[in-house]
Amino acid sequence: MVLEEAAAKKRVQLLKNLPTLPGMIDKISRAVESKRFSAADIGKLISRDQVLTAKVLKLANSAFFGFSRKVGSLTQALVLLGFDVVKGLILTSSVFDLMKNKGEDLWRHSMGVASAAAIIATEVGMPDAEEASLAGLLHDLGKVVIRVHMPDDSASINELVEVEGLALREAEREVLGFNHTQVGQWLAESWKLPEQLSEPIRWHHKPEGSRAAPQMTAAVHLADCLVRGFGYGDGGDPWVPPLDRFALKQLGLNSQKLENIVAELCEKLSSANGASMGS
Amino acid sequence: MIRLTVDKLTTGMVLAQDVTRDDGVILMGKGAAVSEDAIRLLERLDIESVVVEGDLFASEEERQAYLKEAEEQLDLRFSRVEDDKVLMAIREMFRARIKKGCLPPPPPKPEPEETDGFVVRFDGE
Repeated sequence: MVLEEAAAKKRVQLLKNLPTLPGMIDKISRAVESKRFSAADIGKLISRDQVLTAKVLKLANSAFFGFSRKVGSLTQALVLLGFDVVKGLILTSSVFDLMKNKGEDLWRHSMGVASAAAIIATEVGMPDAEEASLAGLLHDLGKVVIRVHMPDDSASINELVEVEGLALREAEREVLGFNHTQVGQWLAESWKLPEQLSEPIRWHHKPEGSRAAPQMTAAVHLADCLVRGFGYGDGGDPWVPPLDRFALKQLGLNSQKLENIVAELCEKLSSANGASMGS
Repeated sequence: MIRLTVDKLTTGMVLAQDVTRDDGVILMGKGAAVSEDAIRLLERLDIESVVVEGDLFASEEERQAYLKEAEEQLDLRFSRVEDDKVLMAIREMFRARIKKGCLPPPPPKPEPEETDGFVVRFDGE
């Protein structure tokens, strides 16, 4: 099994048509590290890819995201949000491009978790609500890869969920020997995502596993439970997963704070507000 | 009142809230009737959604049936964690909201719609 997992990891990391962006990200990362470039230079570098620019700006300005200011250009995005957040936005928009028509429900689930994570982060006074949004948005990265690049396995997994009633992550383990959190981690590694993003991807089902970003991971874990509980989008199976006590402790939640979080989440995700519902 | 995305607006609807630009300038006032011109204007201004008068449901029975269904779905989602007190408390928080009409939107229909119609202008490129 260990061998198989190593092979699978390699397979994932070698996927060729997984976002075209590693090249772009590399270029930008190097520019950032060299310190000889200003935000404006880097903004220019990214904006050569107009489609990407448009997507990143749209995402940054989407009502779901909860960035407090309207972001008008990539340079502004870099200054306001920082490079890690912009990098995450680029990754996200590219990854979910893969899903297009296939993954509307998973996309919604991810947007929902992004909203919820930001709400939680704000309520418990974490300094980085925007990064929490991103962590939420990216947490199911691995599911995208499994769906798109392992279609046969993906079909078997879905069958196990529908017929046997397994939770998606259990079905993944059954079929593949690993689950989407590991796949996500492999990608996060090869893309050199910061720990604040990679740990929630890896540990959102088992928050006590996070060493470097336990609070962020806890926020995403709770966000996932809440969004599933509210029934927004589809994370691959219909059930609310167990809520980890370690995560609750990490967040220092009491019932009043939880109530506030739920209220704001309902407000934000309900059909009467923002999302379309037909007339 | 209900919030609708601009593409779902039809003429004759009545705005239930002002439509404002990000900087607070009012573009269309509450009480205004939605016309074809208004829809085109809203699209051009990249306004995503507006709040109009009216209701989602044609009748009270329809509403009740929808709420009942929503509660059943809620119970189903929490069916595997019924021994967790905190999650049960959360479920009841959601139930209270559902009863007030705060519902998740139904799953999207698989429409072959690609870019959800957004346009970004590029300056200086």
